[in-house]
Amino acid sequence: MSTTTDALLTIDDLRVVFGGRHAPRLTALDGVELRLAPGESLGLVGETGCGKTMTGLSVLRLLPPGAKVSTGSIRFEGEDLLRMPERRMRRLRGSRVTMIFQNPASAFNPVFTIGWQIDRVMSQHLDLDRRGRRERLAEVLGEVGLPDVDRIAAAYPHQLSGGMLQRAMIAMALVNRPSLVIADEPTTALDATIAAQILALLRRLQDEHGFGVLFITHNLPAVRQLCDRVAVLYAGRVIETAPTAELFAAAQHPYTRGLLASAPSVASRGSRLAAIEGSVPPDPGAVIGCSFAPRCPLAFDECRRVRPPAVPITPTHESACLLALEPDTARASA
Amino acid sequence: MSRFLGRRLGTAILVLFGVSLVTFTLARVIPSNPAALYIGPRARAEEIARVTEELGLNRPLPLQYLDYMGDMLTGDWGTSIGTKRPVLSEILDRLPATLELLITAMVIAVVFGTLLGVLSAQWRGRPPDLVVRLIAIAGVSMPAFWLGLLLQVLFFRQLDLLPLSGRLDTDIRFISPITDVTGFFTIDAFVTGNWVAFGDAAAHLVLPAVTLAAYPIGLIARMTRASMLEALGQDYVRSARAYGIGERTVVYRLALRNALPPTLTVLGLTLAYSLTGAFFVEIVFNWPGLGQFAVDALLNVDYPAVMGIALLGAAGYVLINLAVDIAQAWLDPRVRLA
Ligand SMILES: Nc1ncnc2c1ncn2[C@@H]1O[C@H](COP(=O)(O)OP(=O)(O)OP(=O)(O)O)[C@@H](O)[C@H]1O
Ligand SMILES: [Mg+2]
Repeated sequence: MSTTTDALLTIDDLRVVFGGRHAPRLTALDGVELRLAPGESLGLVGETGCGKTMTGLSVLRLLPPGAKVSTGSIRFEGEDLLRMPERRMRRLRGSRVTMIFQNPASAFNPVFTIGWQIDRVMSQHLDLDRRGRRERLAEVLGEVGLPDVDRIAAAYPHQLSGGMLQRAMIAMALVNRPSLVIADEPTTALDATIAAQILALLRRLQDEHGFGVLFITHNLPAVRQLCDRVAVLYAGRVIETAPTAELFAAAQHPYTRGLLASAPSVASRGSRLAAIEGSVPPDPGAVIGCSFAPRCPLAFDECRRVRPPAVPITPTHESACLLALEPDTARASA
Repeated sequence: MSRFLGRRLGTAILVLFGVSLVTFTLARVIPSNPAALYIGPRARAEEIARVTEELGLNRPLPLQYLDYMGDMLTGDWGTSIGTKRPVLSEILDRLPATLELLITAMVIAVVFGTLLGVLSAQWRGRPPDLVVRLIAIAGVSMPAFWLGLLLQVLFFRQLDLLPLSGRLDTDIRFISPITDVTGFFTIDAFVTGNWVAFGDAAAHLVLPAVTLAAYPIGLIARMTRASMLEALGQDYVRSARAYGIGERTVVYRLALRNALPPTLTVLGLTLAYSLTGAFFVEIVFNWPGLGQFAVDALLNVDYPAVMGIALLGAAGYVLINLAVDIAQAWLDPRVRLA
């Protein structure tokens, strides 16, 4: 059995563009490649605007109006999501693949109770009667650390704290027993101690239930706590991917090294990468060579001419940098 | 919720108090000689003196106001100069017809205005949206009497589908008379199983109700469109879609529930307009409601009648806005549970 058929999620050469006919064309994702094994937790990190959210939304086929996938494929449990009819796609959302959002206070509908909203997600996908759903709700709320089921279920979003709401959101994400959970900055809106609790909860639930997690964040310490593997996104491309420990210990790509160097040791929010001069190219699709070259302290002529391919450094560690290809010759010619 | 209710109720009572002050001022203070006005033209001096004494017009104003309030609260709204009958019974005789028209029009306006607004938001920028916006503009800008005439020409003269005017065919009175229950012909005919009369009453109701509904439909459609667009852009709509909730539920249940409060506000505001609009529509369609009575009262300077109608209108307006506020609070748990 090859790794591709084993994979839970495989994203190949995914390109997402904004605009086109009327608005100016802008490439948001420029050939993203990702693999996620069943039960694996993959961190997707990178600066603001690098395309993390677009990657997550592409999997659910919920890109904002104006954005569309131009090429590439997304395979989930062996099925091509980009070719799936909308009806089947809708059955997948909220059951096999679920999403946890950044701001729990606005992700719930303010005029319905939490219990109603989770129940609605269950009745959409599960063939359970009212009592069965009630039991499942109690079970899942208990799992996320909200054992006072009656009170939580009857509460409206404004009556719960951010931390409780995010727990409820996790309950909603898990209630139909998904195999993939996409968490888009699930702790950014919470304060540090609550954020740590939520991360620990996610980790524990993942160990217990074995769902895969695509953890989107720019919080590197959080990645360290939660993820088995990390993919670093820069200007719409994955520029380096490695097991978490290896990435933190031996990052190859100059961008990753800058990212690690600029991250404060405590949880950072919205890190602007003070350590790396310059900014992300406005339209990565228009860059010919390496999109990081303009900011890269180690860039040489070749970097501005060729798009670096992903190069294996170890069997599990890849980097899209010419220096990884032939470190010595490349540096010599610089 | 109870604190909220208490506050709103307090405001409503204050407003009614203010309105009574205004009507009192208009009736007793501004006319240089209310007694002469009451008797009518060519009043003789001793008659004026008698009436002045009778009505207590020579007493201090605050006491007069108390008397006036007392009369109003005990149902003595004065005697119409035009018909020489008590104003209150004149009004109560005609009120059911006006209310039947007004309520039907409002139900039509809420249902269609909301539906059009939702469709418009769903199809933003595409042909259905443009059509709805045209309808909304037409509804808001077309004068009611003109629309009424247009509908009469089309549905009575050209198509011969609906009656021209009135509330009921005269034959109904002989063939299948309506038993009075609520004063609303359609409801009375319905609950007594009088299908002949029900069909006739409903047919008579269609054109005036649609005419009266046109303006609020336009307003409600525009308001609903705007608030639906806002709701559809919210995070919770994105989450619902991300959880596979069907589009119909997302739009008509999850988003619309959040978009309703602004619509309700508009409804409350437009009702005052529709109340006066109803009078014009009643005249165009020869509808036996308060309209003709109000116009006659105005033209004949029938002060007691005008004041009665004004007070009734103000009370109705205050009550409606109170109801709207309560409905709003009930719709929004953030207010209801505060
Ligand atoms: N509505 C939009 N219209 C046009 N371009 C957009 C829109 N939304 C996003 N983009 C583009 O897509 C790119 C990727 O955006 P995305 O939201 O995926 O970034 P992100 O990595 O999630 O950033 P953040 O950390 O701020 O959440 C951005 O650089 C932006 O240029
Ligand atoms: Mg994002």
